[in-house]
Amino acid sequence: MKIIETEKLAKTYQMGEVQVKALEGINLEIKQGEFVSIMGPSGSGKSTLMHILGLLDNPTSGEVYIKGEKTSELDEKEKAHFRLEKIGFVFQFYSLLKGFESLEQVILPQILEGTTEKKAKEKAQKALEKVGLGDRIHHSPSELSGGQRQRVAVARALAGNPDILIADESTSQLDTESSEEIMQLYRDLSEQGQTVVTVNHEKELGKKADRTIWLEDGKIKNKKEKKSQT
Amino acid sequence: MPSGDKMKLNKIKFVGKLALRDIREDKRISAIIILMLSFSFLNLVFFPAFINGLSHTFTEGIIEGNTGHVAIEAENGRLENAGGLVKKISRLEGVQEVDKVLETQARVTYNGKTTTVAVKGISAQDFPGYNSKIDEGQFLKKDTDEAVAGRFLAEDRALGTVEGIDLEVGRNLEINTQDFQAERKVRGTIGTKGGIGGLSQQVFLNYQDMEELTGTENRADTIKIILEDRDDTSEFKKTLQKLNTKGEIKTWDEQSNLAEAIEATFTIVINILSVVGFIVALAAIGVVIFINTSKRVREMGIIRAIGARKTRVIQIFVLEAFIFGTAGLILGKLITLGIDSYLATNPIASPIGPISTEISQVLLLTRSAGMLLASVIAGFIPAYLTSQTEIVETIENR
Repeated sequence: MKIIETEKLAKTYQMGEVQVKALEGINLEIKQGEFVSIMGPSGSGKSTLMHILGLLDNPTSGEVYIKGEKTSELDEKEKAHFRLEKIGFVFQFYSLLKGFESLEQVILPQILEGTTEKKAKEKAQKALEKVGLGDRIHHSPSELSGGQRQRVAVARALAGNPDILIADESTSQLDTESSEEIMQLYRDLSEQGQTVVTVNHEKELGKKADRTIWLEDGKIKNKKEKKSQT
Repeated sequence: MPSGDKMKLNKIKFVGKLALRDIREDKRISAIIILMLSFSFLNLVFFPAFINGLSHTFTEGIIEGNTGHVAIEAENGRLENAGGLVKKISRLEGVQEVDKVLETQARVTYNGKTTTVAVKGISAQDFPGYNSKIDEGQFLKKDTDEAVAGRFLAEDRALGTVEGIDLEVGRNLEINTQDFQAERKVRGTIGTKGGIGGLSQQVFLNYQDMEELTGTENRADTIKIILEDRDDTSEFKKTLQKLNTKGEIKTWDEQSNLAEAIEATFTIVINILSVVGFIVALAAIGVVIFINTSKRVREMGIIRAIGARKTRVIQIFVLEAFIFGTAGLILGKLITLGIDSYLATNPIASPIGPISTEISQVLLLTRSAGMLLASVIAGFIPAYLTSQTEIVETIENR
């Protein structure tokens, strides 16, 4: 079942008098439970594509369908609801809120969703255990390593049981060991049926995905299927 | 509780938690913001309160030294049975002091120098309004035939309507009127340097002494009444009218055009100062909260990216601004009231008399409401503008 589909997706930025085409004619399909890695050189449009798929940005033209729903027809309120319930987003940089312990970070979107505090705590605890931080629930970001912080961000994205987990270069700030741990976490989640879309700049990390989509100058160059899993 | 309400409460709790977290997170910056807001409040309240105090000193000088809060003036000749009237009025509620006054114009001479002044025989020798205005020596003592002279008489130059005669305390002053001639030892000099209220350019004698000198008995030109609370003046006038006394009853502002003009002028000054002060304070509050809120643009983006709606983001920052505004207001109020109580016991000495601040409940309430409103608006504007920006743009605002 297709969970994400794009049609002739394009994004153009106006930089002074120059128009920069960040994305051009992107057609892609991602199935439910698939682990897709989007790769490409710097400036190829990877993050722009992720932001549009995560409904954080609007395309200049083209269409994005999530679970068959035409996202261009959603108003701001509906988009916020989509981001809350259907999409979990992990950012490139540490996106935790200062002064909140791990459990509170993960609870936040649950509360916004309207879940009761008790249920939100249960869900948050489960999500933190899922990412291997069951013993760090009362730690604040400053008491966690870079890898652990990104795990909290993954737990936050997962706590609401989203249909899609989108991770935009979520390992770029991490050392090799932490990066591999995070990618393995995505792999594990994918094997549990979670749809995962990541952006990676290192080919080795991208190999953990089922499929790699290569972007260059805002266009898809190839769609590489994974043959074997490590 | 219905689950919908519980959910709403949870969201409000979290909005509150986020707002409070921001304040706790950077205690030093928060303390500076609160301190700046408290000074803005001080600016909003202190200057109007000071001008109020200044206006009060001016008019009180006229009231205490000349008009009283309310006075009964003789219409033809003099008021009869002045003693009985004083007793009757003294028993009325809210009366602090009643003074029967006999007045005449006189030429006073000292050491060969002569000037013309009003000479008043007064009965309220213990009235603090006289005693507190003594410049040198002492005020009149009951049953003595002495005089207290306005301080301008002790000068060697013309001041106000008086030609100074270089008068000295302890020496004799010659008083000449159409009806009598007398010589009285000067017990003290009275009045402020600025001469407000006329005390500085008059001569005071005891009422009994004046009675004997003018050959009158139990009569008065004016009955001057000082009230415990100046705000009761109009009501007290009505009470007096019900007594059906002879003479014309006038409030202080009806008696003195100068006092009325001063009060009206200061009201204009306070209004202008208030408007300017409000603009300056609102700008200061706005800038402080705007800068503080703008620092958190990226965090707003993150909160929106994980599913918060624009309104929730605005709520967080408006609440934060409100908390800052309230804290600044409380601290500002404490500082203002601290200065106010200090000035109440240590007023600023000025040529027109001691000046302290006068803070009314209306002043405090309107300024407090203005301060909170300004804080909320100042928090709302950047939060609203940021909420209109694409999430990606706010997140990339590192």
